[in-house]
Amino acid sequence: MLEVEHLAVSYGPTRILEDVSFAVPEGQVVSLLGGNGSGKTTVLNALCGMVRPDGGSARIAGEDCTGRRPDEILRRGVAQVPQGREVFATMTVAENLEMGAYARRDRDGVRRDTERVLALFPRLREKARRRAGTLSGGEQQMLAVARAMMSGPRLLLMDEPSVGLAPAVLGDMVATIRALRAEGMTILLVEQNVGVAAAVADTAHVLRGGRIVHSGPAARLLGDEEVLRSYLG
Amino acid sequence: MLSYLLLSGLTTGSIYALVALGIVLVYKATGTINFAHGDQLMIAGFLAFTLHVLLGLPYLVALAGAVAGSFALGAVAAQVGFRAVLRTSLVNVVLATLGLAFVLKGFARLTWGGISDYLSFPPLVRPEPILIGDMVLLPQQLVVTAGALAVMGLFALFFRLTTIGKAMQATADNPRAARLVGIRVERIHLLAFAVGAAIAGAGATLMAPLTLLYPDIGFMLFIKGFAAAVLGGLTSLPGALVGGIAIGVVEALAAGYIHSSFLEVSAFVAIMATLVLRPRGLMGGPPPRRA
Amino acid sequence: MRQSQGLLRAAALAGALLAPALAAAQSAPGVTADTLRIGSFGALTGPGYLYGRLVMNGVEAVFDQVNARGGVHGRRLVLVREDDRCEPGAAIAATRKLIHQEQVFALIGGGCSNATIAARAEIEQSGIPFLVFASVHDGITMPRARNIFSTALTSTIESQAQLAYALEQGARRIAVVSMRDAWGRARYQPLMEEFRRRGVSPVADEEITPDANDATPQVLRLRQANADAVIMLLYPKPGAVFLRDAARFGYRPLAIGQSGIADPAAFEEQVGVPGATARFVTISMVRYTPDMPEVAPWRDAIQAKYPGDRLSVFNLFGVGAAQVLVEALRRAGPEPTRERLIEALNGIRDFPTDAFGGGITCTPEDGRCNKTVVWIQKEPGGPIRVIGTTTVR
Ligand SMILES: Nc1ncnc2c1ncn2[C@@H]1O[C@H](COP(=O)(O)OP(=O)(O)OP(=O)(O)O)[C@@H](O)[C@H]1O
Ligand SMILES: [Mg+2]
Repeated sequence: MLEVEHLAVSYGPTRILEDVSFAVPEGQVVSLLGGNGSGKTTVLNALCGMVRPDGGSARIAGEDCTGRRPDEILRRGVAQVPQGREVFATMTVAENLEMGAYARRDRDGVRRDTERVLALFPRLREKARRRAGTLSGGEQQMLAVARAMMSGPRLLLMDEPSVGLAPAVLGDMVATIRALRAEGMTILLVEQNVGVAAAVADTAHVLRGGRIVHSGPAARLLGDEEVLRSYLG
Repeated sequence: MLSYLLLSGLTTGSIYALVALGIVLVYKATGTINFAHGDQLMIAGFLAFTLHVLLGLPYLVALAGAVAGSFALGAVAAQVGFRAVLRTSLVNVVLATLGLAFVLKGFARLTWGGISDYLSFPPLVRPEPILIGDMVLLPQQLVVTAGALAVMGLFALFFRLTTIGKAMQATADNPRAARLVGIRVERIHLLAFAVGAAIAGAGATLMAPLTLLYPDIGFMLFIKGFAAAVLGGLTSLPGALVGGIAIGVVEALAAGYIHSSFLEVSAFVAIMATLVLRPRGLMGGPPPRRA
Repeated sequence: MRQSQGLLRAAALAGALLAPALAAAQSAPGVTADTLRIGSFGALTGPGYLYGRLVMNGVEAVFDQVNARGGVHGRRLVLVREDDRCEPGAAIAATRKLIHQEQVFALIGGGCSNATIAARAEIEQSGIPFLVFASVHDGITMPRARNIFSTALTSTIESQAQLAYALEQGARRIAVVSMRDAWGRARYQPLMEEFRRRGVSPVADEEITPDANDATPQVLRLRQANADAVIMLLYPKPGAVFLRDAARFGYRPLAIGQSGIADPAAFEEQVGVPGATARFVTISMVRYTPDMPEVAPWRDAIQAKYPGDRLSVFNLFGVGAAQVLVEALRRAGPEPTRERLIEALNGIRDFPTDAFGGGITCTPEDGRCNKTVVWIQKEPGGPIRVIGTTTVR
């Protein structure tokens, strides 16, 4: 589904990603782990066209999409649930969902997806007319996922969806990811919460110093002292 | 006396509000103050004058022409002048809009400067004052107030009902997220400048019979409109209306009850006081984030 | 001894070398056997052309008439024009060029006040006779520069005439509405002095900004003060807003304008409310409107020489000023020098022109030679009429 090869990204003179390569097979949940500032968000931003890589390539379903605009990548089926949710706070929940489908022209598909998303997150249906800024943190996170889903993606990039969630809601999030996976969605999950990653991901990669320093099955991560140490840096 | 002054404040305030609406729209969408807004109004007014007075076209055609012409001019100016600098710093954008203001004024001086000192623009409605209760009003003043309300209403609908309007609002709300959902933010910025200019076109045609037309009118309109926008909170369309009318009323009351020499200063004292008490203005939300 | 002999010889040599130069100096700059070059500066381009190019056209019409009749003492008058674009810097450059490069004998010109004021120092220093034809600022003629004269009304003269007119018309409660920018203050201060001198005081004294769009408060305060005449120190825009709002309240005092509102017909349109200008009078510098039979010859001359132009009051400013200059050139005699011209100008007494409201009088003490303002009025829907004149001190 997604193949990242030798990806390199700089902000001005500072090189953030040196050489990042990994793959996300179709239908799987792959987790990207790393300490604060290790460049996880940068990887996602490079994949969805928000920053322009210096080098390397990202192929989506076999097509090289390196350096394309965000709306072009979105049309190729890649959506992001950004870190910090970034919902449209002054707009209603319904309008947020509508904006999620902004790049689409198939009205019927949009209507179907709206139903699907609202079925997945019944709370959003209740609060459809509320301004997104008035929702709780957990609800906003759901809205961010729902909005990304509205573009009808094949690959979902999720950036630390567990941050700031109450433990009870954390379970919901894990359940959501599992449900999405069960529907056949391919997911690249950026996490600092190793528990969440281990609970839902098939494979995990650890990012450090601008490179992938460790890769392996996610289930083994929690027990792996060496990985945890390198991860905590 | 009070009711006369309030009414006078309401009618001049409507002019300020009509200017402020365009400033707020551009600021909301781009995070930039368009210093050329007043001069875009001026040019639009001359455009309407050319169509209506010089070429003898009907008022509504002139109105449509001024709106369309302004929209095009705004789009071209934004494309040529602002697009490159929008990506750089805020100061550069401000400078670019200031530069545009000078260019427009120079253009107007050359093109229309020789006709007369102040061009008069025939009113849309009959010129005799009308009596409402014991208040005397010029029909055109009602037209301006109604126009300000209508423009505001139209934009409320535009933002609420159309996808492009919602995309503008989304861009104003969170430009990063707007890009993530596939909105071409640069185009929205362009559109905002153009639509802001189109509002200037409508406003200028409505207010020209009251304000007269001259190349230097833009600066005064900008200052008052900007003040109204700041008072209203810079990001709120209803705020622009409330801010404009508040300034008009404060000016009228100060001039009527204290002395006419307090008129100019009173508005700015009111703004300072408001901003000290409510730093985000009367109806402002948080400032827009830049993409 | 030897040394002083050497000095003598050097002096003689210098004298021989200088003689032709001295001879040339005797016939003043700009004067040849059969021509007399007169310089003019003002805006030839841009909106200020009204006070520049059009006035010069009037001057040229007079010169043409004089030349057709054999010139002044056999010399043809030649007008050399320079553009000051209404800008101070350009006005200085224009006068320098006229004085030093074009070597004109005298200057007649000055449109925009700011530009003319800027050029004043240069002109005063050079000693060239200068007759101002349009600029109204007092600072151009006051304090007196011995070589500068003006046939334009100044703001002080207009302010004095405004008050005189109000009193003449029997107004008892006179109010003032003014702009307080540089333009307005130049009129407001002399007006207040005139109030004091005559022992009256205004019943209301209100301000309007040049860009005002509403004058309701001012109108209400004047009405409350029961003012029966209003002296307006306003540009057309605030003036129009004031009269419009006054009409809204049915308040119609005698409204006295000044030459800042020079065209009552345009002003009526700017006010826009029918009948609102019925009691409005304003100042003209000339006593004829362009369509009056009295100025028919000038109308023909202007329209023949400048096809497409119609006679305007600005042309008439130039006609009046040029007639004064030509008279002084005649009086300066067949061997004119700049000093003789200045002397002749200072001797002009009560000289009639085809343009101004009264006779022109210049004195060594006062270079403001035109002190008669002409009152004009436009009946709503009717033509512009001259209704009288006021001559101040
Ligand atoms: N726009 C930017 N300009 C300059 N430097 C940036 C920018 N965005 C991020 N950085 C820097 O790049 C590095 C990687 O940032 P990134 O956000 O990708 O890290 P992260 O792994 O997502 O961290 P976190 O876990 O805190 O979200 C950090 O040092 C950060 O300061
Ligand atoms: Mg991050």
